[in-house]
Parts: sequence; structure tokens; C-alpha cells
Amino acid sequence: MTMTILLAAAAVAGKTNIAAVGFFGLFVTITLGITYWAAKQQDHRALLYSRRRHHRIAERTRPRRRLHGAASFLGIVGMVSQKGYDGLILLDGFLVGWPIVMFTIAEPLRNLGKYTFADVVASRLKQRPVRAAATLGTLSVVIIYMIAQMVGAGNLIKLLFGFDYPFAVILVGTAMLSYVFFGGMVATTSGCRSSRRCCSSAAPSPWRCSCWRSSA
Amino acid sequence: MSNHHHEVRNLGRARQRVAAILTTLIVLSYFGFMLLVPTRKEWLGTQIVPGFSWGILLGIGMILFSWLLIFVYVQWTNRVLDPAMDRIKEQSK
Repeated sequence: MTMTILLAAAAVAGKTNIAAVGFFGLFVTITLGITYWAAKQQDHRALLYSRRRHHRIAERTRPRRRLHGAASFLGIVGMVSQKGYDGLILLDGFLVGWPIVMFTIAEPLRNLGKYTFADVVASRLKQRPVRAAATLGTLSVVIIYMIAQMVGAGNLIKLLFGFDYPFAVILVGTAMLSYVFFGGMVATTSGCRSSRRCCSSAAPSPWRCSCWRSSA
Repeated sequence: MSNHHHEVRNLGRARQRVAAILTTLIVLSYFGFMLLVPTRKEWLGTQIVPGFSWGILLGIGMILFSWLLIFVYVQWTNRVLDPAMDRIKEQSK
């Protein structure tokens, strides 16, 4: 189905790169399949998670890691496409944020047995306003990240396939939404678990540290 | 009991000191790099090898430096902090 949409779009756009579109369609189809498969596996795994504490911690910190990974990758693509290689300084902002968070708040959080900063504040103050403020903060940051990501992904698709920019953005948005619709958010994250394991063993990160230490 | 309390407090101070040193290092290097962007923009654009400028080199160096600091911190917690904590836990049983 994805292929027919893409080929129809290619016919409209005219100057498109058919091979690139074909590979894009192929990858989207394969990863959607994996996402769907991961969604089916989820029920068994949910039982396993409650057994070991460090798995739950990993599960909680995972969305943030994904957010950072995707946002930094696509955000940097967006910046580089707009500003040239000056956009690479964005890369340092993400990576410098991690160690600071790790040195300053990761250890106290672990000692308190809390998962997020909001958990700590909520345990001392009123739950409802604290959670609302934390959610608002997270959502506003996520929206700004999302804009950078969509610009990046849109430009990437535009350059690769030769589509018009608005169409490229709509295409990427549709692909992202269909991952979430078919697999659910949990499946979207767990589908790529093995690849992320490889990444996290290559790069030391707060998540990895918390995993080591809480299992010790 | 008060002896353990004292040890825990010392350990907490040691952790804060290590964290403060590492945080200062990374904040200084990051803002130093960022200040080069408005003040020494021409120099950052100079190419060492064609296609590879000082800006790119320092940007990548920044990433490697932050990895190095994380590595130092993890080594310190694994070798010093956690064994000391375990020892205090054992003694207080």
C-alpha cells in the first residue's frame, strides 16, 4: 500500500528518484512489519518487566533516550540543511546535556528510588500541580523538538526523492503516525531494542550506567 | 551508629566534589566552544585538511570529551563509591 502511494506521488512530482523512493518504501514496509510483530510479543514481555527492577528503570528512561536520539539526528539534519555545517554545533548541545544530568541528579534520584524528576518533586509537594507542570514542560519541549525533526525529515525526503517540501513533511508525518497506530508506542520503542542495545554498548550513557548500577 | 552516619556523610561529600569537578569541566569546555562561535568564527572556519575545519574537529572533540568524563565518573562510582557503600551497609547490619 505504501508503495502505491509513493509511486503515485512520484508520478505527480515528476523529477523524482525512483530507486530512492523504492528503497524508502521497502524499509518502511519492513520496519512496519517488525513493529507489528513487536506489538504482538508485548503481552509476554509486560509480565517479565514487573519481575526485575532494573528493567523497569530501563523502560522508564527509554522514551527519553529515543527522543534524544531521534531529535538529535533529525534536528541536526534540519539545521545542516538550513545553515550548512554550522548546524553541527547542535550535536554538542545534546551530548553535553547528558553528563551534566548524570553528574548532578542521576545519583540522588537513584538513592531516592525515584524514576523521574517529577516523581521526586511530587513526593514532597502536591501531586496534581507538580505533575501538570512537569507534563506541560515535557510537552512544550517535545513540540519544539518535533518541529525540528519534521523540518529535518522533510528536507531529507525532499533532497533524496525530489518531492515538494510540504508533501515530504506530510509523508513523513503519515509514516510516523502509522508506526504508532499499528504497533502502539511501546512496540515502536521495543521494535528497535536490539539495535539500541548495540548503540548503548558503544556509547556510555546515563541510562547504561543506571542499568549497571541498579543491577549490581 | 554515629560513626556510620559520619562515613555516609563523608562519602556524600566526596561524590558531590567529584560531580562538581566534572560538571565544571564540561560546562567550561562547552561554553568555551560555544563562545568561539561568535568571537572566533573565521578561525573555526579555517580548514586543517580540505573539507575538515577546526570547528568540526572541536565539535567532535567536545563529544569525545563528554564521553571521557562519563567514563571517569562511572569508573569512580564502580571502584570507589559503590564498594564503600556496600561496606557501610555490611557493617551496619
